[in-house]
Amino acid sequence: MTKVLTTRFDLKGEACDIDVYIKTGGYAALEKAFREMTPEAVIEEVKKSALRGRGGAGFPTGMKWSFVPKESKRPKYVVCNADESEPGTGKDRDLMRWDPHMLIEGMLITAYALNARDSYIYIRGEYWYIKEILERAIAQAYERGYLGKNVLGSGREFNLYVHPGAGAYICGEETALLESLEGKRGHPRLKPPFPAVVGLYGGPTVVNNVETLAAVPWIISNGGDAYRALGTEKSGGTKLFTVSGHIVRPGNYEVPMGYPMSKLIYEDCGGIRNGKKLKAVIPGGSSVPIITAEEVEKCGLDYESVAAVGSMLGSGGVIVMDETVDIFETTRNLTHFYHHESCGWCTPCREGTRWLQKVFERMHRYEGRPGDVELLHELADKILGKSFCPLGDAAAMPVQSAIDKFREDFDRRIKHDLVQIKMHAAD
Amino acid sequence: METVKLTIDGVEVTAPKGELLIEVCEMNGVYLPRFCHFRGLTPQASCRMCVVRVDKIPKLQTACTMPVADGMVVTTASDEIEDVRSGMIEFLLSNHPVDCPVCDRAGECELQDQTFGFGEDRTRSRFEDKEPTLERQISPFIYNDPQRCVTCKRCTRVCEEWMDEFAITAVNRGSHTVISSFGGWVECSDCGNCVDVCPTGTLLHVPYKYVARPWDLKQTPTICNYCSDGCSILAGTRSEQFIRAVARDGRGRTAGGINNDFLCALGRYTIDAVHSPQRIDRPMIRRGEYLVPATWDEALNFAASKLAEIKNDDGGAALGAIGAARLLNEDLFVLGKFAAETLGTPNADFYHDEDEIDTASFFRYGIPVLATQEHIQNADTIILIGSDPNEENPLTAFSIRWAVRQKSARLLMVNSMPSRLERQAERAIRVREGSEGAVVEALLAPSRIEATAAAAGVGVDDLRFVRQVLLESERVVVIFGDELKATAVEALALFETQLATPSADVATAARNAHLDALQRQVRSTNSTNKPAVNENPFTSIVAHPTLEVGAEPARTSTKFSFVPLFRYSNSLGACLIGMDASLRGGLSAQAMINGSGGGIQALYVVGEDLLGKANGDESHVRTQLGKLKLLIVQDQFMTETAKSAHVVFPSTSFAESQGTQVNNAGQVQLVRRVIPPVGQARPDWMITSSIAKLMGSDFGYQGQVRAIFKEISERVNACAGLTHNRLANEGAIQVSAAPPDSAGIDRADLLARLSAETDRINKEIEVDSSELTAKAGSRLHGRYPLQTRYSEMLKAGDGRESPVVFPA
Ligand SMILES: Cc1cc2nc3c(=O)[nH]c(=O)nc-3n(C[C@H](O)[C@H](O)[C@H](O)COP(=O)(O)O)c2cc1C
Ligand code: SF4
Ligand code: SF4
Ligand code: SF4
Ligand code: SF4
Ligand code: FES
Repeated sequence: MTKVLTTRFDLKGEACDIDVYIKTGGYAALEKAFREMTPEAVIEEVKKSALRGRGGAGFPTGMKWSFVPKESKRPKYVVCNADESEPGTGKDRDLMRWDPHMLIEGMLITAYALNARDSYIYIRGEYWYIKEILERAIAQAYERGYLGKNVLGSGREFNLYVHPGAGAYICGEETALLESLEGKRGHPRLKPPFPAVVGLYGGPTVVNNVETLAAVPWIISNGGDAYRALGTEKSGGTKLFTVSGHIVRPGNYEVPMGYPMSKLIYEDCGGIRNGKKLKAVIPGGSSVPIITAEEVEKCGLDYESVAAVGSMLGSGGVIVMDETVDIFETTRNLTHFYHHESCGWCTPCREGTRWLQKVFERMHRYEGRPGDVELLHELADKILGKSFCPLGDAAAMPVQSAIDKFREDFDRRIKHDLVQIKMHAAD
Repeated sequence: METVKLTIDGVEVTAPKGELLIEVCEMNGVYLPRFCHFRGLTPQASCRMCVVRVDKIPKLQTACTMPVADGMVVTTASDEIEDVRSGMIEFLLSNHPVDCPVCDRAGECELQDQTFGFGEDRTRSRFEDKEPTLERQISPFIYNDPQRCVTCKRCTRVCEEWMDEFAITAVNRGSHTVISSFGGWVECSDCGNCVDVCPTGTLLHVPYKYVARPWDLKQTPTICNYCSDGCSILAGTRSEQFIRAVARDGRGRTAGGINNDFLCALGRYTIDAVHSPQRIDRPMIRRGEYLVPATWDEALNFAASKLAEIKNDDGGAALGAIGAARLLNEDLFVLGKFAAETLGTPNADFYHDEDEIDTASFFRYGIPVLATQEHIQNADTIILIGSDPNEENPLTAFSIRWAVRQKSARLLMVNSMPSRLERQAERAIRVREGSEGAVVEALLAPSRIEATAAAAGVGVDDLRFVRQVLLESERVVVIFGDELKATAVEALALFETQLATPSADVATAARNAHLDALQRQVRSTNSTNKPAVNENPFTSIVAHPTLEVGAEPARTSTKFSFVPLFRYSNSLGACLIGMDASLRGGLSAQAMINGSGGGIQALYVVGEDLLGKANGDESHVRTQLGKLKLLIVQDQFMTETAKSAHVVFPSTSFAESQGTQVNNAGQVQLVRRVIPPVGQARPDWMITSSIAKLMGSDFGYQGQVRAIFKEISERVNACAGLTHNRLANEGAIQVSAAPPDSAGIDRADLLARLSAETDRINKEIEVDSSELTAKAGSRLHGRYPLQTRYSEMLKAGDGRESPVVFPA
């Protein structure tokens, strides 16, 4: 299997040193882009690669770049979304700690393609140790002239800054991220205008996930067609999956797009722990609908195939649950997360997640009232599609899918009237 | 105005291009429920109440963020939409205390209204699902009950976008979000607008807390009596008590007002002075050392006979009448008429403070074109000279901010003192105190630019820049205040001819260059400056954010229009109706005081505290007044001047009498009587005409204030055709301008006088380059002593020693 993202993972951090990175082929793509390609050609190559955003939404990256206006009065920016707060997702962490220069190189090529001078990495605050790794790598890149004034004799200046978040999930949403980067409260912005047109400090801004940007050097070196050929027609290349839960070998796995999910779980990850049976999988980080063991069998790991079983590829955080798991409890846990992380901007998400959590809490105490399961479903319905940003949807979808597919785990939590139970017993 | 055609619920309508769908629906009789949308605030789209279906768009859309476009097909009512609305209401109520019986907002609460209109009659949330929070006081004027909050953020947006104060904010996250100060008391100018726009009982006025229910209030629109902007207020009264003043009338604006939903601290929080225990409640006559209560008949007869006696002994010219510039036109007119016709004296004047704008200079060549708030809001360029409207004319300051923020107007400032408005200015020039006139000279006489720059202590480039901007702008509003002295005020009449209108090409190019520059403004995360223009990307979805929805932007006929920031509510009216001594050939108020005991033997002082205003010269004024044979004082309060009078009459406040006043835009507005007179007080005009009658001249008003205004409209050209009824129906009506004819101005002489003044400026004085850090509004409170001195509420505002600590 061709590796795109994880070629230097085995070096266990040696590639953080720029010499090792260069020795293993690093910064060659940058040289190629700067010396042999026009910015338009770079964008064209990325379009051809069918690279899609790895942050969750899967938006075609080349297309996103082409929305950035050529002429702009305000400066343009490239922003890397390294907020990685999606439960069950830890791929960006490894990309940054084992191979930070690849991200830097990808960002530089992007900045070159979009004619941006300044770029930012917005990194989740808990990754403070990775921030240090990145900053060391950036300092090296400045020393070697990959950053700073007159990069590779192009006469152009490139700067790169790392900015830590302060622990809010919503700041992974690209517009809230921009607000936070500007020093404001982390709330999403209204779209349109999209960041590609009005972004950071009002300037056109491309926001891309770490993994997305890290794939760019390979695409430039090997060509968009080669990258696309690794995956499926609509989802090019490879993807890094964080597999967690009740499997034998949890971790990050790079597999081509379209790879069978069951193969990933049963072969690469060594199957379910302790010989138990698979019960359910959340395939794309906590924000997507849960799927059953039967659905896993049919599911390929690309955007279209996961959608076909009614879920989403999301961030690629595969959470595997065996038969011992009470889906009610996992959903309660997620609801707690979304209530805690709702930014409070809009009514349905702010009030809806609070109410959902209240109902979950009483059901957790086995004090659910008859009708509570339906109430959960309806509350989720009132959030779904009505919220200001997708966080609301992310809170609603897991609840609805869990109830639809694992109803018995919920019903158990309803406390039926004692009198009724007695009567049943007497029957 | 460009229009588009769209279909709303099957009906085709025409609408201004780029207007928000929610407003267009409302214009066409379709009210969409809302919490976060509020006219004049940036779109927020957070409450999700206004959702509609727009054909060809898969998801429901929020009408408050959707600009209308040609051919749009909109559905505003369907099961699906109603489901969302009632769902959102259910969400909001799921953690709401619904303690309407003890909530001050009940009865005018938008959450109640929306629940009735769009909610369900049941709820699935239970009491134990709710999370009670404590109510707390966050400022001397504001209570906050966070549990009632719907997090619409109208309050914080008002504070940021209208007031530029950034004094309150949302803290915490998610369902724990509450509105709060940044710790401790809210430090702000106490405008109370955040409370007014709050749709629920979350923010409440401290002075109004548990005082009345809205349905018990009689609400009468009237005009504020403080600064010369003349805001409309909705006066809430109950049982003959004036209880509150608000800007909002529940749905938008107070009929015919000029201030939309804006009020400042004075207009809102000083109304308690009306019921102050220090009001004079009955007439009094001096008996030796003491003023002792008397009946109206005794006091009136005393005053009339004494006046007649002195007139007889010393002649009419020994008598003088002084009125306050905040009296209503009717009061001042009757006073002037009384002086001329009954007393037979030319000595009648309204009291000017020495450091006030010289009205006579401003009106020397006619009535210049005056800019209304709407004109300011739509100006291309605003030049502000010698004033800080933030402190003195808060509505004007609001309009300036609006113009800059929402319409990218260019703001130039020439001031000797710091002002918060400077951060909105494209160029703010800090000049040497007393040299504002030199800048006016520089604008009119480019050859003098070096000399004027040196005199004002500024760079030549700054002056060139200001002149250049004025030259290339199409519509300029000149706003000036007290610091601009007489000759320079007179010279403003030359602007129109000396700074001619640019050709369309030049103007367009300059405008585009300005917009371009705004676009290019680079900000960094560390910038402490607040954004000068509205750089909120949300705003860019509305083509022309406007307060007057659907209206063409107001434009004046001339390039230059003026806003003289007079100090009192009716300074302009006093001039218009001829209460200015210089127009009557009599002695000015100051001259009358100085002539006391000599040429002047009796003074009739209406509503003015001569001693209180003596400004360091009190003993002189006291001595002078002591020399008078007769001092008659009519006032609401026992002022120092009243205490030295021979006879004192209790007069009504603006809340107790009807009449008209003219604001600094020349707009005549109707002041309505909202409560009956307090104690035995009578309107000033009535007292004056009673004395006149006793002295043998019957003005024939028969107690009808309308009759006075009829006479004014007949005698004063500018008021021709106006009646109280028209003003009641149409709201503010601007008097017609009679702009100066440039041929009538001796340009050379005027410029020579201006030069002479510039050359006299003392160049030793240091230019004040300090930043304004003091609490906003402090000067504002100090400026208007009459009622603010008697307002317990404002005093409470100053006692900020015990900050509440925000609960974690
Ligand atoms: C609530 C929420 C949280 C998100 N968190 C992240 C995140 O942690 N990391 C990330 O890369 N994208 C996150 N996204 C997606 C971003 O909004 C955005 O789509 C992405 O950064 C775009 O990059 P891409 O096109 O490379 O995927 C989040 C989106 C939402 C709605
Ligand atoms: S859905 Fe609404 S409340 Fe939730 S995170 Fe997004 S904007 Fe904030
Ligand atoms: S805010 Fe409105 S609904 Fe809430 S308690 Fe007050 S009056 Fe009732
Ligand atoms: S009273 Fe006015 S200035 Fe003070 S917080 Fe409210 S809106 Fe802001
Ligand atoms: S306090 Fe009032 S205005 Fe402010 S967010 Fe809450 S409900 Fe809205
Ligand atoms: S009014 Fe449109 S979302 Fe609140």
